[in-house]
Amino acid sequence: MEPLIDTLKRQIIEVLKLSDLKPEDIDADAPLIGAGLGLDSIDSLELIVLLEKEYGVTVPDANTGRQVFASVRSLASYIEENRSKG
Amino acid sequence: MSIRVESFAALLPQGIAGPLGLRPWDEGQAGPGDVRRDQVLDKPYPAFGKLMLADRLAFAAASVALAGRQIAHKDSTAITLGISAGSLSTDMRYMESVIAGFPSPAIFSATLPSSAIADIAIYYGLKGPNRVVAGNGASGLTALELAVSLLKTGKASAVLTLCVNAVETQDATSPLVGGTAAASNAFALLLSLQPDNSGTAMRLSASFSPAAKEGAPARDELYFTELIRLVREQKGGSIEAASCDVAVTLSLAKEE
Repeated sequence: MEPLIDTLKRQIIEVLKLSDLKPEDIDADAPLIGAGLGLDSIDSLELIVLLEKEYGVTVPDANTGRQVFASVRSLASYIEENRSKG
Repeated sequence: MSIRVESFAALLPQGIAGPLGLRPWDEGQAGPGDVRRDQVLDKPYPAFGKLMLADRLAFAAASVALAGRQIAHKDSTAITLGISAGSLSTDMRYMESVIAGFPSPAIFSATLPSSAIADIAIYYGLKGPNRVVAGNGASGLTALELAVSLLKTGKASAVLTLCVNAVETQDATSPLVGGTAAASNAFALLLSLQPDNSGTAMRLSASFSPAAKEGAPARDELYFTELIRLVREQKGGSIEAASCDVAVTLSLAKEE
């Protein structure tokens, strides 16, 4: 899963235009929204678009979203789990 | 009435001008459109990189003008923004994402001419009234007129006036937002009423006549560039500008 985590870090920086950050600056276990990376609700929508566009994975509801966007690692787990379902 | 120019800023093709002088663009930077966070902000703002071009230019100009300043009355400090093409450049980017099949929520949230005002107001805690005008080449002058009106009527104790021209594409035929990468510009003036018996601050006296002037169309960047040159050099002078339907005469004078 580590390669996917590294890829996600690069994609998050690119999609959210976090130009001052490098992939190694992002803690894979730190919260994505609010504390940690400090992303907001609009950013989470942008990440939902990223999941659908790049991985064909959807987030069906807000409760799932809260778990998925808990960290980069949880995001990667969700992608791996749901890609294999597809 | 007289108005004090508390501070100013200009993002120009040749560099960033502010109270501390002109700082040329770094090598590899084509002009204002390439402005970086570390060049204009003195405290962290992770969202700077996410701002769309027009909003980023406005935010950068505001930040240079407000750098190191303590704003006394944030509740009554207003913002007026003249943005030549409104949110057109952002609208175009959003439509590109729609056509690509994945509409971007982040870009959609910025498809408002006033979105830069929201970012600046939140970042600096400014809670006074705000106005935005999108009127092509006379937008900045109209924003300046609105600023004077807010001060004159007592609706604001200070006004941050911004003028933004965002060039989003190299396609010079693109309506309103086409041109070279260096062609974007942005200006900021922090204005307040001139208190009686104050020190040696420079004054900007403004008067407006209701009659429109005939002649060449107004071009904000020329007027603001000249205005800021006069402010920087602390020279008396005057600028006469014909905007859409109002003639503006600005004169600067050193207080004795």
